[in-house]
Formats: sequence, structure tokens, C-alpha cells
Amino acid sequence: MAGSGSAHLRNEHETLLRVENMVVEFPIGQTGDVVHAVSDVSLDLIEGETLGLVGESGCGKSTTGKAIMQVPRPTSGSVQLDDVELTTLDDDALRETRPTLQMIFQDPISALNPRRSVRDIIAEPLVIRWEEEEGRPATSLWFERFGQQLFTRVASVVVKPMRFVLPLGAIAMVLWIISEAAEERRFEDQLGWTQLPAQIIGFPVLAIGLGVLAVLALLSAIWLLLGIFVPFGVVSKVLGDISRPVGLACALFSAATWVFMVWRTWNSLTGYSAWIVRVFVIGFAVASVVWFVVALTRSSASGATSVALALASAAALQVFYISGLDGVTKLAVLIGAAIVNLIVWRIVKRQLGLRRDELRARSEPKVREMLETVGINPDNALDRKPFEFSGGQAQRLSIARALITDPKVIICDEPVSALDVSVQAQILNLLEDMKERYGLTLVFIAHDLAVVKNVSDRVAVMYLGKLCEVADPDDLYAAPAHPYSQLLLSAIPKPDPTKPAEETPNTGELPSPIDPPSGCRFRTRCPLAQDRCATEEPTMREVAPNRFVACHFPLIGSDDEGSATHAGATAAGAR
Amino acid sequence: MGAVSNIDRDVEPGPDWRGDSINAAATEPAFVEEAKLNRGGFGVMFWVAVTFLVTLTLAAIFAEVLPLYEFDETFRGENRDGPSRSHWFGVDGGGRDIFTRVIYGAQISLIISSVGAVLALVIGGMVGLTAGYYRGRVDSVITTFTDATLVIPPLILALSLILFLDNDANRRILILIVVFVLLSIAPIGRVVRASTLVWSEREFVLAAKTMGARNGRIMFREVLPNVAPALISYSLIVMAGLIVVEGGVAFVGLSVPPPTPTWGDMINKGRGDLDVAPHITLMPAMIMFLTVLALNFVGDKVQERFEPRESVL
Repeated sequence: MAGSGSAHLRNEHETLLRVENMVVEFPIGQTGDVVHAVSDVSLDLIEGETLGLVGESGCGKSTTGKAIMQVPRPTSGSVQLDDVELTTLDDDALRETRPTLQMIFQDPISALNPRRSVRDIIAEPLVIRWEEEEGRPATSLWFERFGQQLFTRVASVVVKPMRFVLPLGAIAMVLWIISEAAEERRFEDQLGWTQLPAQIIGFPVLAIGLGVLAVLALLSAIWLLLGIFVPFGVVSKVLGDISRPVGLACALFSAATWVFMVWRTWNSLTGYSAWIVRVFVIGFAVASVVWFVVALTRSSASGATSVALALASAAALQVFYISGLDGVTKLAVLIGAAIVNLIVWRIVKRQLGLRRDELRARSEPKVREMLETVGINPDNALDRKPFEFSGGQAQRLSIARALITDPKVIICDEPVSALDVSVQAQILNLLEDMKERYGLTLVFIAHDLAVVKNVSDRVAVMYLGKLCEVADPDDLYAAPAHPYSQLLLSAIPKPDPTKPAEETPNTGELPSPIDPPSGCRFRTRCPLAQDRCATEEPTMREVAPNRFVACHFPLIGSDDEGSATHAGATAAGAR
Repeated sequence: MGAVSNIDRDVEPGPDWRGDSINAAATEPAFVEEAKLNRGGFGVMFWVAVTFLVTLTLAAIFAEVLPLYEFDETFRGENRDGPSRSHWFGVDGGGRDIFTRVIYGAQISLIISSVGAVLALVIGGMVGLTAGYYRGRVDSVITTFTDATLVIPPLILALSLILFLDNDANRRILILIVVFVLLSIAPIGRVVRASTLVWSEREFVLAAKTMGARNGRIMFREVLPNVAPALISYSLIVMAGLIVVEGGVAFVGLSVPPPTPTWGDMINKGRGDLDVAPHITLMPAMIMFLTVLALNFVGDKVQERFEPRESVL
């Protein structure tokens, strides 16, 4: 038993998902050994069908499911979804097929990121798809939006200067007080506490200076903005779509520039009053690093964004190069740089934030619908974290996440194994409802035969990476044709405590998949094993209508291969 | 193969199972709220530690406007005097106010350790995340390089770099930062790598892959938020370690040159007078001890508080 072959596969035109001769092997370190996790498995599903995949732990059920999902890709064989061959698709093309093929996992808690809210978790498949589809807007479009925002922002600075200037002016004043105080300390000894009140009394005087500062700051900000963005605008108009490599090159260039700037600035500053400026330098350096990371890692960021961000951050540091300036002018330039940073940073943040909010708003109706469908109140659940839900509820969330992209096929990898019995029933019924409602096709992986019998239209029994038997669940449960199926069925505990437990025949250990037995893989535990089983691998064949078995000596049906009398006798004996 | 809908169910659900679960989130059991509350605050000691650190930082930043003495101002005839009202931490062998010098020394200690720790956090975090997420060959290459930095003795590295350069204080600071970053990348990278190895095994990472997420998205959106608490708390502890290492470097005279005060240098200078005036050594040592203790405490609490929660039910 436990053989290869594809006699059980149906006509290619009927099937939605078709797995042929799939092999998954994992190398063990550098030893050269491989784990034969799945060896030559063929499966098929008609639309709307549920295929139950059963077997012991370690038989390769989950690996089969994951290999169908292409995580990881199978070693060989073919997986066809809707006549599209998945195994040979490149990563990008595979991403496009992801929405039609989804998966539900065994441990509902582990399958949900504990750090994200339910809203984001459920919307994730949609968001990923949207970002893939429209993630990179045309550079010119992005620049237009960026430019528009920039100039509205500048205009608002001009119209309502107080909003920006006042807090920054306050900072400037503090800085000034500090620098003045530090200056005076050099000439006078031991002024101590008397120094500060004197300066606070001098507030009105400083306020006038503040006005001058504000004007200077505004001027330098505008100067910087014009200096950077107007040339950039011209360049981008002329060049049209700036490609990503160009953006990258610009970013690297300006990174080099600002490393140089920091170096120069650092060394040009002397004395301990310069510590404050050093803190600013470090702050800007950190801000610039953040910008680069944002610019280079955002998949939606176009080349233009990289250029803009890189130039802006370089410019921000450029001001420190003007170290010949002194006193008020220096502070004004500093504040000007702060304003530029603030404006650009706010616009970038707004862009990123807008995108996130837009995606959230777009996905929210669908997320709500899905949560309601799986029986969770969206008003309460949306902003919660997964740990606030019980296992059953978390599994509902997983189902909602799998359903949100309207998939055709869902692979359920032991979705109820981690749940208690009453919750299992709820989840199974929910899956049934979803299946009817959305016309799903399911691959249902489980080790619980009762569960599989409930949900499946067709059952495939797996043993050590191979298929043993494919049959209708009712037939299979009434009369298993494969000795392994029989062993599985006999292992189901009878829910009757008054009866003594039956002796379970032949519960050996599962052999190692590194070095599986020759011939039929089940022969080491099979009560009917003959010499032939060790030498010849059985293939799938139809022993009765719609009953496919990979065994030399099946328990039912005509046996035209092996010795009929022997098989009949042992079958009778085994029952 | 039976028709889709005609499957008999052995287990019938309760009549209102769906209604129940709709309200499940609304009528959350009391113990969930309780568990949330219990996780609650940071505790008094955390806030004491934070207050100490913030006070020290502010004092260091604004040292020049605070009513302190000059750090190189000498008080003749008061050499080695113990703590008094005019000299809170006493006076050192050169007749200088120890309290003032401790505050100015904090400038050096804090700037070197914090900049070093932040840079090491960013670089080590990226390195560890990459190694832990991609595994295999990427992992072994990165681990080889970071582990190679572990064999370099910090003092020798600092010494060799400093000897080739001049005595300028700012340049010394930069060199020390570079040395400390080089030395902290490996430990931080290892912690992050270990944590990433665990988290990227989780099914939500697999789920993200089956949803078609790219590697960068998975690393930054799925794995990093879970690794971050360990990363940040460990960086705080690394920062504490760097303060001590800076002390050690200063002790052998490789840190910022005098007269700029550093904690390690002050401890070193007080050695000779330990029998007659222990406060010269003990006062800066105490502040260093308290800073390191506070950083460790904050690090631990941050980790404890922000550890990702799995389930309370």
C-alpha cells in the first residue's frame, strides 16, 4: 500500500485544483540525507467539493497542504489551480494567484500576530493585494500630489505664521537664553541663581529679538524650499519618470554628503556650549536615517520620493555647514532648517498616514461584513488584539481573513484540532455555511476521522508521504479497503465507557521518512504484508466503483493482482 | 462524492450558537479586564529610575546654565574635603567640586553610551532581523562577521584607533562611539536574531506568506513589532554596559583627555586618596552605579510590560 499512481484522478476539465505526482523533500543539513515528507502524491478537487486528508501525525498531510500553497514550493510535481500551473510561476505571478487560494491554520492564536489589531489582521490580504496592484503610482502623479501639499503647507505658513513661528520661537528663545547665559558665565564668576531671573526680567527685550528671529527663520525656510524643490520640480518635469535606481543613487550621494556635513560640523564646533548644537546634529542625522529607511523601503514610494527625501534631508544638514555665521543668524538658520524638516516630515507622514487611512477606510466595510459573517461583532472586535479572543473566536478571525479575498479554494490545515469539542462543532458548521455561501472548494486536513467524515465529499488517506486510499467517506467508514485505513478506524475510541477498550492491532511506530521502507511503505506495520510488498510498490487502482486503493492485497473488491483467496481470507480474518 | 449540502452532522450546534458568539466580545468575562489591569503599571521603582535618569540627562544638558561651579575651578585649602553644604559631593585632590564634575562627566558618559546604543540598536537590529529571517547562507555569513567582532578586545581597539589620531576631545568621542557601536552590534544582533528565529517560525508569518506579502513587509510588519520589546530593553542594558566600558576606557586614560571630567577618570584619580578621602572615588562610582542600575531596571520593566501577549483566555 501506500503507493503512487494517479488512477483516482478525474478528468482534467472537471477539476479546479489538480495536484499530480507532488514530491516534497527536505535536506537534512549537509549530510546529503533527505526527509521524504511527501512522495508522489496526486489529488484533485472538483469545484464545490471537500476533500478530507487524513493520516497520522507526521504522514505529510500538512506538508501537502503547504506545498499546494507553494510555501515552500514542492520539490517536483505539478499543482494546477484553474489550469494555471503554480509550481513554475515566478514570485510575482504567484502573488497574483494568492487571493484565490487561501489557508486556515491549526493553531488559531499562533496564526494571528499578537501585535496587530483585528482590523489590520483581517484587512491584510486585501491591503497586500491593493498595494501590489496600485502600490507604485506614477512618479509624476506622486510629485504633483507632493508639490500640491507642499505649497498648500507653505501657504498656510505664510497665512498663519503664528502657528509655526510661536513654538519654534519659544525654542529659539530658550536656546538663546542658554547660549547667552553660557557666554556670560565665561566673564563673571559665581553668578549662580541670580543669573536666570535677570534674564527672565529681560523677556520683553528678548521678545523683540524673537520677532527678528522669526522673520529670519521664515526667510531661510523659504529660501531652502525654493532652493531644493524648484530645481527638483524642473528636473523631474524634464526627466519625466525618475526611475528607482536614480533615486537610490541620489539618496546615496546625499547620504555621503551629510556624513561629510556631520563630520565638518562636529569638528567646527568648539567649547561646551556647542553641545546643544551637537544634539541637533544628532537629531537631524537620526531623522535623516529614518527618512532614508522610509524612502527606500516603502514599496509604494517612487523614485521621486526617494530623491525628494534625500535632497531634503541633505539640505537640512547643509545649514550646519554655514558655520561662519554667528549668534542670531546661526540660530535663525537652525530654526529655518527645523521648519523645513517639520514641513517635509509632516507631508511625508501625511502621505504615508493618508495611504494607511485610505486603505483602512476602503477595507473597513468588507472587514465588517466578514466579521459578521463568521459571527463576531465588528463593533467590539475591530480594535482589539488577538489575545483578547478565545481559541474558537480566534479561529473565526482566521476564517474571516481567509475569506476576505473571495478565494476559490481554501486549505484547512487541521482547523479544529486545537479547539474543544463544542467549539469544533461550531467551527465545522461555520465552514460548511461559508462553503455553501461562497461556493468554496475545501481541502480539509485532519487526523480526526469523525471530523473528516462529517465534512468531506471524498477522503484521501495518507501514510508516510503516500496516498493509501481515496474513497467516499461513507464507503470508507463502512468498509475500509486498505489495511491502514482499517487500522485508523479501529483506533477511534468508542464513546462507551462500559465496554472495555478493544485491543488495537498493530500500533507500531511510524518509520522514519528519511529512510522509508522499500516497496509498500506500510508493510512494516501491515498485518497482511507479504514478500511482494517489500519489493514492489503498489499503485492506485479501482477496486470497486469510486474506491481507489494502493495495495496488493486490498480488503475488499476483486483482486486481480494478488492472490484472491489469500486476500479474501485475511480480509475476513482481519474483520 | 455526495452533494455539498447533504452531509449529515454528528454534532449539532446549539440553536443560538451564532447569537452567542456575536455577543461574546461584548460580554467579555470579567477576568479579561482583570488580566489587563494586572498587566497594568510599571511600578514605583520604574518611575524612580526614570526620574533619576531624566534628571541626570537634563542636568548634563543644561550643566552650563545651572548654578554649578566651573568643572576646572579650584578651591584652595579645601582639597579632599568631604561633602558639605557648598560642595555636595565634596572636593577632590585637585580642589575641584566633585558634584560639578560628576554632572559634566555625565555629558560624556551619556552622549557616548546613548549614541552608541542607538546606532547599535539600528544596525544590530537590522543585522539580526535579516539573519534570523532569511536563515541559511545569509545567516551564516552575517553571523560570521558579527561574531568576528566579538574577539576584538575593546581596550585594544580603542587604544589602536586613538593612538593614530590626535588628542582632540570631540574626535575621541567619535572614536569611542565607533568602537562601542562595533562592539555592541554582535550582542544586540544575536538577541534579535534569536528572537526573530522564534517569531518567524510562527504561523502568522506563514499566513502572511500565503497572503502574498513580500519579505520586507513580513520582516517589518509581522516580525519586528514582536521582536522590538526585547530589542529595546536589551539596548538599554547595552547602554548601561557602555557606560561601564567607558569608565574602564577612561580609567586607563583613553577616554576624553583632561581637564574634561569623565566618571572613569574621576574614579581613577581618586584611587590614591582612597584611604583618606574615599568620597573622591565613591561619589562618581555611586552615580555610575545608580545610572547603570536604573538603566537595567528600566530595560527589564520595558521588556516585561511590552512583551507580546498571546492569550489570557
